[in-house]
Amino acid sequence: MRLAWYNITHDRMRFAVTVLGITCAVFLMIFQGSILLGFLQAASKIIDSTGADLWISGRGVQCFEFAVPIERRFADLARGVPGVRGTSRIVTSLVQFRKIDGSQQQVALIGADVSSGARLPIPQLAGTRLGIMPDALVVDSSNTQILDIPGRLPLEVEINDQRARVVGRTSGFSSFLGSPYVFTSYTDASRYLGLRPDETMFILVQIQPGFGVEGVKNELQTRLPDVEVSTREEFSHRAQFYWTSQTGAGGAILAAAVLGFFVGLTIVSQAIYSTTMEHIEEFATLKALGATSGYIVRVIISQAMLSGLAGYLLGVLITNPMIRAARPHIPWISTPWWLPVGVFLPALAMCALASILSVKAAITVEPAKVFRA
Amino acid sequence: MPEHSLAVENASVSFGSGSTRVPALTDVSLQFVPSTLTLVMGPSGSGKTTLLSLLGCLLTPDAGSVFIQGANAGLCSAEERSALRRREIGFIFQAFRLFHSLSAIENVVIKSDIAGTGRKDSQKIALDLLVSLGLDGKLHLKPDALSGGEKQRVAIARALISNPKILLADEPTASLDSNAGRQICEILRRLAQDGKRTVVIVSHDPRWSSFADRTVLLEDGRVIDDRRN
Repeated sequence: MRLAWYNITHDRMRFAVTVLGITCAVFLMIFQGSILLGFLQAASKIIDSTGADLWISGRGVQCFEFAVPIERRFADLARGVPGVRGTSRIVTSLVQFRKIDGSQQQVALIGADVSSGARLPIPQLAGTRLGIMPDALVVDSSNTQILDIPGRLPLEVEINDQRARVVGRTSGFSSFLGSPYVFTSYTDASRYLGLRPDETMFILVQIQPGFGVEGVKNELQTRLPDVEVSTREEFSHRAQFYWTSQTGAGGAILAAAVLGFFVGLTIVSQAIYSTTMEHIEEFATLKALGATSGYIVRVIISQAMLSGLAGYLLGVLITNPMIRAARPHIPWISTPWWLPVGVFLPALAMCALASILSVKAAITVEPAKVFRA
Repeated sequence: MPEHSLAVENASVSFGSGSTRVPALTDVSLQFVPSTLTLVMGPSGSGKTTLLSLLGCLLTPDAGSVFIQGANAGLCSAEERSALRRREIGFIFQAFRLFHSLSAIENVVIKSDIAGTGRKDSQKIALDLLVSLGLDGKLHLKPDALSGGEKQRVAIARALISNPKILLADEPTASLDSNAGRQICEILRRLAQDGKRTVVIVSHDPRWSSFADRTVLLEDGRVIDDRRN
C-alpha cells in the first residue's frame, strides 16, 4: 500500500502529530499497566514469598496487611492432620520505627519463623541456616532514605520504644502502603507487638509429598472451623482482589490505563479523520478509477496501521527510560517483557477503531465529484 | 456485438426531489463508435458533465440505459460498475486529479494497483507511456513540480495504462495554455484514430472543433444538434 505510506508521509507535521498521539497512548497503557502489575505483585508479595502450601488466618481476613490474632494452638491441631509436614508462624502490624535522629516513622513490621520460606528476608546468623540474630531488622534498600539508614550497618534504632538493630538490606520488598516493610524474627516481632504467647496471626502449613493440597485444606477447614484455610494461591488472589477492587486503588490505576487508550483513540481518530478528509477528493478519484470499497478501506487501514506501528515503537522506546526514572518514586512498578508486547494489539486496534469514521467518509464519497474543477 | 462501444438510450437524470427536482438530462440517446473523437458542447448547466458521468458509470440514469462494450451498466452492481471503469474506461479530468503524494510514474501505476495487476509490468508500461508522452525527464517528480500540460499528460498516461477502449475527458484543456492545450488535443486525436479508441470529450474550448470527428450539442439536458465534422 504505497499510497497509504505516501499519503501519511506527504504531510510530515500531521504524521508527527498522529504518531505522537499514538506514542502517548502506548506509553500510558504500558506505564499504567506496569503500575497495575507492580501493584498486584506488591499486594501479594509477602504471601507469594513464603514456601507455604496453605495459609491459616482469622475468618474474613482479606489480605496479609490487615491480620487479626488467632489462637496459636491451631498450629498444634494442624500438625495432627494427615498430610501436614510442618507449620510456621508469621505476624505483622504497623509499628513505630524511631530513626537515628529521634524522629518516628510508621513501618509495617513482619516477623516470621525461618521455616516460613527462604525468600522471606528474615535476619539470620551468618553461616547458619536456622539461627536467628536477636533484635535484628532487615529493611528494603528502596526505604533506606525514608528510614534514614546510612551505608554502614548495623544501626541502633527502636521499634515501639524497644531496642533493635538494622543489620541488613534486602531488595524487591518495597511496600505499596506508604509504610516500609521491616523484617525480623517471629520471636522479636511478637515481643515488639506485645502479642500474647498463645496468639499468632497466620499459620503457614507445609504439606507432605504425596498429599493433595485441596484434600489437606478441606480436612484442615473441617477440623478448624473457627479459622479460614486457604491455599497460597487463593490467599494471594484474595489479597490482590482486595487491594485492587475493594480499596479503589487498582480501579483508579486501571481507569488511568483505559483513559490512556481513549485519549490516544481520540487523538488518533481526529488525526486520521482529518488526513482522510484532506484527501477526500483523492478517494473520489480512486473510486472513479474503479477502486473497490475494499481497496479504499485497505488504504485507510494501512495508513492507520503504519501510524500505529511508528507510534507503538516510539512509545515502547520512551517507556523504558521513563519507568527507570519513576522507579525511585514507585519502587514496586513492574514491566514484564510481555506487557509492551501485549500492548501491541490494543494499539493497533485503537488505530483501526480510529479509522472507522474515516472509512465511512471515504467509501461514501460521490465519485462523480471528480468532474468538479 | 453492436458496432458502438458506448451508448446511452433514452437516458434521463434529474437531481433533487419533490418541488426542487431539476432535470439534468432528458431522454438522451447517443451511440459512440471506436476510432472516433466526439466533442460534447453546450452552455453551462446543459448536462454535459452529467452525460459524461453516465458514460463513465459514475451515475446511473433514473430512466433509460447505458451500454459499455455491450454490457448494460444499469443492470450491474456497484462492484461490477467499478470493474467496468477499471477495465474499459480511462478518465481525464479538468483538474487532473493526480495524487499529490505520488511521483508521476506512481500516479500512473496506481491504476494498475487498483486493478491488482503485477507491479513490475505496470512500471514498465507506465515508463513507456510517460516517455511516449514526452515526460522522460519527469518520471519521479511529484505533481506540484509539474506544469499544467505535464500534469495532464501524466493523467492521460494513467488513463491509458489499463489499455481501455473508451476515453472520457472533461474539459481536458481548460486549465492549460494554448500550446499545452494543442498538444493534448493532438494526443487525444491520435489515441482515437491510431488506437481505435472511443474518445468522448466535454469542452467549451473551440480548438477542439478541428480535432473532433463529431460534435454533439446539448441544451437544457437535451441533444439539440449531432453532426459529423
